Amino acid sequence: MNDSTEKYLTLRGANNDIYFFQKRVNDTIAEVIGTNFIKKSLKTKILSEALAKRDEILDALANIEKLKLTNISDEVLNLFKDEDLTTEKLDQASYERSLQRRKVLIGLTSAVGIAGLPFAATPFIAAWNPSAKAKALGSSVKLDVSKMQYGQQIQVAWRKQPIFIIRHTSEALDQLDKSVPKLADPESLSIDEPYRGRFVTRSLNSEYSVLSGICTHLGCSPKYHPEVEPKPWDSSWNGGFFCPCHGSMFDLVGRVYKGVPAPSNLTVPPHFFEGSILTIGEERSNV
Amino acid sequence: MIAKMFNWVNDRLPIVNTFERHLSKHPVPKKVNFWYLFGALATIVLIIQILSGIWLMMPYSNTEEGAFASIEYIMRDVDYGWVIRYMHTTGASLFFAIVYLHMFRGLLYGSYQKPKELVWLFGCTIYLVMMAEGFLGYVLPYGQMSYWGAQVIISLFGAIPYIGESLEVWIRGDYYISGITISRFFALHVVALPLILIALVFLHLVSLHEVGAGNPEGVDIEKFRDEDGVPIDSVPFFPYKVLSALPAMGIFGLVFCVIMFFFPEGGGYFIELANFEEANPLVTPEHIAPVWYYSPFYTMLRAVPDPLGGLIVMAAGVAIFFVVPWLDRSNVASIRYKGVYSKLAITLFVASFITLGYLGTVPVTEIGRIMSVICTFLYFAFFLLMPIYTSFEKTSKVPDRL
Repeated sequence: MNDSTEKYLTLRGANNDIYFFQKRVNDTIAEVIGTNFIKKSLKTKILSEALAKRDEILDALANIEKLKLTNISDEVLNLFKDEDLTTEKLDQASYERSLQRRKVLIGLTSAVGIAGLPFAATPFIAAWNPSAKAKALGSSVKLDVSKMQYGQQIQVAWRKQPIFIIRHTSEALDQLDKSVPKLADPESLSIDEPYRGRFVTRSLNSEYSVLSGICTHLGCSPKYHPEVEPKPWDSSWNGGFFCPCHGSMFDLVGRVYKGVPAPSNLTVPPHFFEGSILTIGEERSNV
Repeated sequence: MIAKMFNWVNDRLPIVNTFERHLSKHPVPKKVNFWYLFGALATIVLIIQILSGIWLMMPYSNTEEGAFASIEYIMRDVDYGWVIRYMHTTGASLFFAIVYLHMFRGLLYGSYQKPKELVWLFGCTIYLVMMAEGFLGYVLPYGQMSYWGAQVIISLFGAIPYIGESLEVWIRGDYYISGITISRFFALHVVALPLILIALVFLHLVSLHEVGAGNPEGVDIEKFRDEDGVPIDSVPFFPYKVLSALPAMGIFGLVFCVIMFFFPEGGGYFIELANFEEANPLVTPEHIAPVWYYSPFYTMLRAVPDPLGGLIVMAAGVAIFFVVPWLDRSNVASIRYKGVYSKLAITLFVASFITLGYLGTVPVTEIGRIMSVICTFLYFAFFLLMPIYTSFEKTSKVPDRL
């Protein structure tokens, strides 16, 4: 039997360079040699040597089949057995090295994979930001406030939320100091006051207040009560806002009273005036 | 012929094996009481929710303009649409009712004790996902309470320092709860969370079958086995437990139908009346209250004056369930053999939980505020003092056999 092809041979071992013999045998032979699958290291890296050793095994197998042997010597039996199972690790040192290399490679691929995660997650997270359309719709509203009467309050919606614009009378502005003792935070120190120290109106204009119409308690919309007269909720009412939901009180420029559920003053949205044109939702651009 | 086909499939798919392992040869304690039915009932409600949910998806419109109108369309124009919708809303409330009873059973009979910790943890996660699922679903009709409830819940995230405000915008995808928010909540409600929920239920059951079901006595049935290695005090899950659960399922079905057909709004607790009005971002309803099943935690939120503190307390109220297996130091599982302190503690716990639940549905009053603080303390005391009272109290001896 002389077969120069590499039938039944396979490269294995730590560096995949050692020839192994692998063959499945029929049940009759399996009974004699004790296994139906022969897998044996030929302990060589050279093809010609491997071929020779392979043919030796194949010849022995053919013999068993031809002569219908039922009993074979240990010597022949050893031909089919991989007596030393550690042969795959022929070169122990190189095996260790390759293990080490593998660890480094696994570590590196994992690191790259983990580093890639934020990049892969970016589109999924960013897709939840307001879209360009939502941003455009939520950008700003413009209106002419010159037609407002003194003491009048109007309400506009910005981002679907009520914004109060009040044109104060000069008497009302003069009165503001009176209610200070009743206020929880007259200087708006506990909130992020955008236009601190400009005007008593808390806005960018000495006559108009621009306030978010959302109660800082639970988001209701307070009602405007400018009259200076005794009210059911306050016998010495100086004018201001009263929230019908839970009874929070604010003065005319949206500063919260003491002892009410609302924790802080009404906020002032970003805005600017160009003459009598008020823009809400934007700071004045530098252009 | 059929047998041959069956064998062909069975050779490729472990049908018989799985049936035997998890049903016909799965040993469960022979004596349990009605508390052990709620797990099976919860599975049935889950199926009802998935089925009715898929049917609701078809006519529902996930847009700002269309959402509320499409609910009315389902109620009026779609044949039997009202049944399917009320099935879904009734299912939601009963799902929580059943899960609360199921969890209480766990606390009562120590169903979280070693080696069932993981079963308990999967269960707690299911509860957490259900809360999110319920919240998202409640927003979809875009009624007044959908809008303002979501407003309150989302603004909770605003209480987180530094990132809060941008986190709110990110969750909404807009500057108010708009169509953008609805359509993303829709995707989460109908695809993402149900997938997670089903996976968790699978894990909950697989881990339960690995460690075996408990019983009201807290007896370890594994101790005594017959010559085949089957616990003596056990019966196969199928047909014994499955068939004996059928009457309970019938009764449950009856209760379900009575609510669905006659009291679908549940007196404003199952569907809040304000939700029959379309969302209006400019007008707040007089009184914002969550649906009943979140109510105890909402009361905890309100009991703390500071928003961030409230958020932390509320989150802790849910999270604390996860550590129960490591808080209970008792050498017995069942309340029947625990000492008097455990019995007192669980009674106070139930009382405080129900009171918290009630307080969350009514407007705040001075008395109510004080009560909610006291009940919040009692609620946490049950858990936090558990390592102390369970290790010091005198327990009675658990029998060997069931």
